[in-house]
Parts: sequence; structure tokens; C-alpha cells
Amino acid sequence: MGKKSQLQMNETVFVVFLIMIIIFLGLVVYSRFQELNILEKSKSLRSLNVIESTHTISFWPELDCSDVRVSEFACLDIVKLKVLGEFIDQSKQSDKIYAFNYYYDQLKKSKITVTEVYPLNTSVLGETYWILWDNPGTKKTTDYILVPVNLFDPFTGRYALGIMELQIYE
Amino acid sequence: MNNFEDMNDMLGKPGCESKAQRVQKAQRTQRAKNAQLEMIGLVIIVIIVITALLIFLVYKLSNPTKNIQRIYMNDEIATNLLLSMNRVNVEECPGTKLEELMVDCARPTPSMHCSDYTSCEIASQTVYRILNSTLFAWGMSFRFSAESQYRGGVFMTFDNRNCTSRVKEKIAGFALLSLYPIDGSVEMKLEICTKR
Repeated sequence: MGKKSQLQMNETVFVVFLIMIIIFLGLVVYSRFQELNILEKSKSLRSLNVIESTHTISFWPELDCSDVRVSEFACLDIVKLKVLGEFIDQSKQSDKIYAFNYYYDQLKKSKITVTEVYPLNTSVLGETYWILWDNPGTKKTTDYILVPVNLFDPFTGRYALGIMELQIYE
Repeated sequence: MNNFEDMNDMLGKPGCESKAQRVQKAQRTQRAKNAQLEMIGLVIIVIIVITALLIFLVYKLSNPTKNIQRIYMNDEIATNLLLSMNRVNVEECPGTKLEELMVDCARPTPSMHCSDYTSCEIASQTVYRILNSTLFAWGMSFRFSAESQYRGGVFMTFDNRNCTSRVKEKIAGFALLSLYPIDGSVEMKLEICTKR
């Protein structure tokens, strides 16, 4: 083989090698972006799940403050809230596991709390702070939603202002 | 001329270029030209690759993915907080809701009084207490305003973290309360600035 041919062969090998490196780098960059896209998509799906849950809870017949069967917008009855919270809590331990399973289908691994902020701005469990659902998962995510709601006391007929917080676990 | 060159070749006179030398020179020049062309081609490819990468990066950076959860939450807060705060019973005025005080305050001549305070003072204090334990406490950037034609425009305003009209990205919630039996209404607006 002549010297010129050897040089040309070397050149070809070098070019092929360079192209392969460029393709490899392109694949690495592409896979990295794909990975980020997938992570973003999963986050967005989780967010949609949180939104759906929040929306459902805001209009749950188990909690809404109805007056002569007319539901009010974003309003929770504090008596219903207390009763439902206790019922769900008991269902985890006793033979009422069917109730836990029913709510698990809707709320999964999450924590839902309601706190009164006006007129009282304290956190006394059962009085101004209620835990509706507490089923922690392995890892706490940053996904949480705060929704202002009215808290209606059917005994006094007074409306207070509360914040419903929904946290999602992985 | 050719005969003269041939003669030079034959004589091999120093200082004069032979035909072979000129051919070699021409070949070298051609090779250099080819190398230059290849270099230009390589540079063009590199420029195209860099431009494509830059376009991709600029596109990615200028279109950040929207956090739908955050948008939803801000929207819920802006709307629900206004509607919910209007319905609360004011502590200082037993049996009176905040919306009643706001309506009275927005009228040409406010008439309600609670514990020696006017409806405007109590309403303002209540709104501040609510905002203080929610939006102020969460460190959110917002602007709350209440407007009435009888009070010369905006008569109540609270804001936090420089949420001005110049901010482009904001989510707003509105609540309109009728001033019945007189004409007009009071417009309550809560704007939440998402980016300053």
C-alpha cells in the first residue's frame, strides 16, 4: 500500500471516529433531555392528581355545609369534618377497613388538614385544627396545595375562615 | 516561448523554473486550496452544529415549563379567599358578615358602627387580620383592593412584596357586591403576582 493510501485510510478512520464521538455525545445529550422531560411529565401528572383530589374534597357531600339542601361554595361543616376525620381514623384500626379502602381509592398516600385562621388563629386539634386523612408514604414530596375555605359551625350558625392543606406523598 | 523554456530545461540553467517544477508548484497550490476548502467545510459544519445547539438552548430557556400546580393554587387562593372572607362573621360585630361591612363602607354615607368603630375601620381591620394570617404569613406577593364609585375609586388597599401594576404575570380574583338599594357595586380584587 502506498503512503498516500495509508494517509487516506488514516483520514477516513479519523473522520469515522469523530462522527461516532459526535453521535455518541448527541445521544447522551438527547437522553439527558428525555430524562428531564419524563421527570417533568411525571411531576405534571402528580400535580394533576393533587388538583383533582383538592377539587373533589372541596365539593365532598360528606363535608359541605348545606343549608336546606343547597350546597355552598368552598364551605366545610366543622361537625362533619370532625366526625369524618374520626371515622376514617378508626377505620384504619378496626374492622371498618372497607371505609379506609374506599377513601384510599380517592386520596391515596396523602395528608389533608384544615386549620382555622380567622377569627382564631391557633392549632388546637379538634377545635381549630382537623386532620381529615393521614396516610403517609415513604417520601414527602413538595406537592402541596392550600385552599381557603369557609368553616361553618351549624350550632352557632357562624362562618369562620380556614385553610385546607393537601400534601401528597410518593 | 515554448522553445525557449525547453531550451532552459535542456540547459538546466539555475534561477529559471523548469516545467516539472512549475507542475509541482501548481499541484502544491491545488492541494493547499483543497485543504482550505475542507477546512471551510469543517468550520461551516461546526458553526451549524453550534447554531442548532444555541437555538435549542434559547428555546428551552425562554419557554420554562409552567408549574400547573402553582398556577392552580394561586388561582384557587385568589378566588376562594375573596369569596370566603366575605362570608366570615366579623368578631367585633356579632351577627355581621364582612361583606355587609364592605357594602356599608362603600356607600356614600356609611351608617354601621361596631364597638365605637365605623364599618370601614372594622372591615379594614378584619381584611388585614385575614391577609396577615394567610398571604403575609406565606410570604406571597399580592395586592388587595376594594373600589367604589361613591368613595372616589379605591378605598381600601393592602399589598406585599411590590406587587404593582407593572408586574406582568399575575393571577386575579374578583368579587362584586351589590350596593342595593342604591345603584352601583363594590369591586373587590385580589391579585397574586407570580413573577416579579
